[in-house]
Amino acid sequence: MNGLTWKYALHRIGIYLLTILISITLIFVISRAVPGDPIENMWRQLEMQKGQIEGVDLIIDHYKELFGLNEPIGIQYLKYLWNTVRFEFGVSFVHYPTSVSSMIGHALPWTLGLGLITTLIIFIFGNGIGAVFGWERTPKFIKTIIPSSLIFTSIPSVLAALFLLSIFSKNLGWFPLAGAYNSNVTQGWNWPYIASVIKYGFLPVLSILLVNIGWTILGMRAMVVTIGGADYVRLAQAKGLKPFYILKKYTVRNALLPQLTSLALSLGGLISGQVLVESIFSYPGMGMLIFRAIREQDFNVIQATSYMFILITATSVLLIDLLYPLIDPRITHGED
Amino acid sequence: MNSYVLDVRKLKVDYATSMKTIQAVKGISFSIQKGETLGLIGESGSGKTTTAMAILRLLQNPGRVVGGEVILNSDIDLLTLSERELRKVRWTELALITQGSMNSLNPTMRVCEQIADGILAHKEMNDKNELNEYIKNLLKLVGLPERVFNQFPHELSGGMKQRVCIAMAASLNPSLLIADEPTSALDVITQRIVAQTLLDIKERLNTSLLIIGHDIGLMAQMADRVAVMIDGFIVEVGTMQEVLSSPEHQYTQILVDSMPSIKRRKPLTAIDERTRSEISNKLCVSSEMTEVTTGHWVAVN
Amino acid sequence: MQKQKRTITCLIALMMIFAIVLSSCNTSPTDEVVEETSGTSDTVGEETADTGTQPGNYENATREETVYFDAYVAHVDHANWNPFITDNLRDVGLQQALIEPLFMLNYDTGEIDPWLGLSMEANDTFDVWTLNLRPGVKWSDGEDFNADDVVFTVNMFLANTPDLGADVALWTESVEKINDLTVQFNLTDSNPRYQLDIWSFKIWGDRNSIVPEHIWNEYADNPMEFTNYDPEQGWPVFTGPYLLSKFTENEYIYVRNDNWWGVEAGFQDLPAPKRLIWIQYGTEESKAAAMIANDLDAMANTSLGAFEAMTAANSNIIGWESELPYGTIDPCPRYLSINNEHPIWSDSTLRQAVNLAVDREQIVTIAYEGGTSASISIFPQYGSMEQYNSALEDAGLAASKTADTEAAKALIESSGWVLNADGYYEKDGQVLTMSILTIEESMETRRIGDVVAEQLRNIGIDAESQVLSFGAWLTAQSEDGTPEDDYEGAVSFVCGGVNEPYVTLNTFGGGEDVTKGGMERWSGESWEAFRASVAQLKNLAPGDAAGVPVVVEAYENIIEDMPFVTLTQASMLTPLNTTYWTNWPTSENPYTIPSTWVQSTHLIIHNLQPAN
Repeated sequence: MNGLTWKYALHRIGIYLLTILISITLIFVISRAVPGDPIENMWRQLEMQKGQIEGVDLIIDHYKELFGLNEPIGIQYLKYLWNTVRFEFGVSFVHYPTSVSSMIGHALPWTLGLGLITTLIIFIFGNGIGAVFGWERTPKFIKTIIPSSLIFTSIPSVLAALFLLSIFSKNLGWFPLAGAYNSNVTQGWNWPYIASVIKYGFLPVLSILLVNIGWTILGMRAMVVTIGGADYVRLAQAKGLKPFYILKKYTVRNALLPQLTSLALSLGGLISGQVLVESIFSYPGMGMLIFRAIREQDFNVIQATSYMFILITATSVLLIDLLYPLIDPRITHGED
Repeated sequence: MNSYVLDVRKLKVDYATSMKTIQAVKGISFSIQKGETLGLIGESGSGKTTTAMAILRLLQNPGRVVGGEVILNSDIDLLTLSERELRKVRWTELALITQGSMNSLNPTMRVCEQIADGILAHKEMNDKNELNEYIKNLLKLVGLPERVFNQFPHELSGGMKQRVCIAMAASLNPSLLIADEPTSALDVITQRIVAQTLLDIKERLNTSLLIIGHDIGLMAQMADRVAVMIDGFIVEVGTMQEVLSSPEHQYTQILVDSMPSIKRRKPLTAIDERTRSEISNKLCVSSEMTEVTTGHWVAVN
Repeated sequence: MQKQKRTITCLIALMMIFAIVLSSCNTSPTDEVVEETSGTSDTVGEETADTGTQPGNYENATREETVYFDAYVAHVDHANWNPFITDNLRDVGLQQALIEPLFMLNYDTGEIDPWLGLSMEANDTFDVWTLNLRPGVKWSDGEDFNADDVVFTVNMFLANTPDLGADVALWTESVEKINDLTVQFNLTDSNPRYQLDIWSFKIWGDRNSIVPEHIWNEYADNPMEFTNYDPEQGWPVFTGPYLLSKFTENEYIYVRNDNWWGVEAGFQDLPAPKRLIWIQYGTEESKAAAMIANDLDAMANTSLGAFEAMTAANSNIIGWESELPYGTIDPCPRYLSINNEHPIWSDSTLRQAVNLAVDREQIVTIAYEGGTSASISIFPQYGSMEQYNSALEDAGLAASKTADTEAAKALIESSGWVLNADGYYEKDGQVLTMSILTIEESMETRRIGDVVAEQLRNIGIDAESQVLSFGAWLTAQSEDGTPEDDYEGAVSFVCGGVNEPYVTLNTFGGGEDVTKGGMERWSGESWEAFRASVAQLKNLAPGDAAGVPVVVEAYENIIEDMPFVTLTQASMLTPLNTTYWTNWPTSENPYTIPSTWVQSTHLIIHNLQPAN
């Protein structure tokens, strides 16, 4: 009955934890492999932008001590692991003494909101449209639209974002150029705020959507065509069931499972696309945060945001993996 | 003359691609009387499944009926029905038990749901308990335990699945059941059980049965009459007994010879290509059938 | 069946709720702002702003009453308005609208103009300074700004070094209040630049803002932990003519404080803009689009190409100059740094040859497309630097605008190098190479590097430019490896000497106890002589005419040994929009620099006039 077994769940969770451990180690190694000392770089760069700072060597030394950068690399790594596990990201190098957690706390909801809504739209509409395109009863002229849905799939989200920004914001002026909501509205549960959030989020969502939805549509179309020839669909027709009911309960229902797998696989791409899209629209999410942190070489922030992205991706994939046996009654893991 | 439950007249089916057209069924005629079981026998590629699908109007592209009539209950020509009318007839009058029941059930729906949706598509049944009782009864009828009601197809064995299919097909007391290789892919013992179940149901519902298969031995146990197909033609029609005892057509003789007996077993594919094309060529010239004895028709030999 | 469907629906719903709850949690700090100001917001609109005295009235000021500035970079912790944090918060209005400086350097005249301070005088040995404060200055909450605040702040600096920066403690021994408007600073050492470097706006804005004692006294021991933000109490409290109204993730909104102290004190009238907004756009293209659409009044640094595109689309957009180079001078001129310890490049003859081979005019034409000017010297060419630059020109020490390739080749050959078959100089089997390091993040340095490498190849030096990230560029020039592995050349920059040469020259002097100077690791006799001149300059007040011959003397040593090669002035191109506001600073009207991310923006705001 219940396809989710303990053995399977533990196995998946084990892989999940291992993935995260390897990833955070990589983050640590990569950020230490960057030439130069982050604190030194930061203050010299500040000098470059803002003129000479008297006593800068004193300041640099102070912060190196403060951030533990004078300690042996092994100790630094162990401390980093322990802190990361506890979500203790310390304070930002550049925005000292702002805590990295508070920076993430600010940015995460926007990113989650944007990401979840985009993913849901891609999944629901992508599969809906794909099913219609794959359905034998759909009129030919509608089916010829398929290629147009793929125009954007071959370009990166960044370009789509720049394209949409230049058409709809710059030339037509229908949407704002940057931000997450209008400064005239009151933040909270009121319609003007929500409307503003939707208006500001529209183009970012659309940029990610246009690029990614094509694959979902194509995948679903192929699945629907394949399953349309299955014995059980033919039997359903023989039963005199209504065609749309067959599409819904027999074809799409069975096509959704592989689609869910491919969604899990594409999550990484979705998220990395979102990072750049956020920075283009100056959307105050995690993407913007990591983009700026990389520019500013704010290592604590880079480490923490990368970690959060990996956590989000890995957790989503894990969730889908664990959900899968619940949705597909055929799969009972762990008994093989 | 008895009224026919199914009367197929000069049915022709083509598979037409842009490259060439293959004639799969070449103008065959046969009929089934009320309560009768007709076996349609032939090797694979002979057009027997195509015939069944044409009757059900479930041909898949590029298959197309290009001629003939399929009269149900003496008054409905299935081939001319509108889609809506066709949906009404399906399952209520004409039910299908498919080949290879492994894939005949939707893997993501419970057995009860799959039986229920066929019923609900044709009958108002607001009382959920009544519906459930009805379905459970059907399952009992085909000899399945009650737990099957809530199970998914993958939790059932092949024989059980096939019995679910039988229960499903019987759910609306159709006048005709079409069973397309109902026992293929099952082991011999299960074959017997499923065949028996099918016959029991047929008796109980007093329905007609068109059974399609390639195993003349199994057919012999189930069918009242038999029609033998090769290359889209019917070469011989008659009662089971007569055809078995005195096969008139060359091909039928080969078939009957291949029937497994305790002593020897000869596979059906023993017919060689040369013999087949000889037979086929002759039929192409004339497929006229002559009545040897009453109800026993044979094509040109 | 039903059960599973429900499970999935629940999970999805949970995820949604999770996201929504998170994003509404986010709202709490700003909610308060809104509540505070919402009471007055409904009366706005019809009221003409002139009759209003309540600052809250300006929250919904019209476009004509508002100036939109480009938020160069947004800060991160929105609820933290502590001016001492290392955040870029200052760029988004804090130091342009709220924090007023004691003094402000005028780049054109070189004078230190009074603001909150009236004057600051030193004793003869420059180790005791007396600050006279302007009477009548008030904090935005009505409290007096006086000597107590200054003394409190300075003591806070002394107790919290280097969290609050290091320069105050480096120079200040103690501070004492003489009377309410007079403060005496006792220095650790003689420093003629104490007023300018520590207590004046010089390049960007200093971190040494005076803060109100009555608010900060609780945090005297841990000032970094104070957020300085509480809208209910009217925090942050500073002296500027604007108050923080509210902010979103990418907008910072300030409204005029009609009770600003400057009016009553007879200092200045209220500035004309009723509302100031610093707004952040994601890309350069978005900023340009906003400029063209008149949604932005002042943009931070842009490229020449983008500027020309903008002015073509909107004739109301202007620069500092009305023709090429359009921009104004950035405080950090670009030069070619050469490693004086490198086995090959330690030969000053070769460095002299490079100086002759460089065609500065060509760099301007090709790398900048005309968007800057060739450097006369290593100093930025502000009006206040005129006396030094012209003295150098008179002494024949100015850098040539064009190259003299023949003379350059002759110099290289005089050092024993011979042209090989490839057309490059070679000595003892070694080819004369120079790898020029440029900064990936700075297109400007990359383009300069390419042009200079080409010019050096023309005279037979196998030069190429190499792009590195800023960190790698910096590390490559630090003294880690052996001289052989070390860098050869780099496109570099030097900031500081905006009104006098001392700070720039000191960069190459190398401080007190070192044996070589700067990234170039300059050493030797000329360097020693150079250092002596720099030490002499150190004790002269900035702008003191007595310094001019000393600068010439110091520069003679540079030209003699050529530790680095002067290239170009760095350009700063800031598009300004005259659609709604006029009287921006330009070369015709150079009351200040046109950078709207630095503290001198106070001057711009006070000078702006509505276009109609």
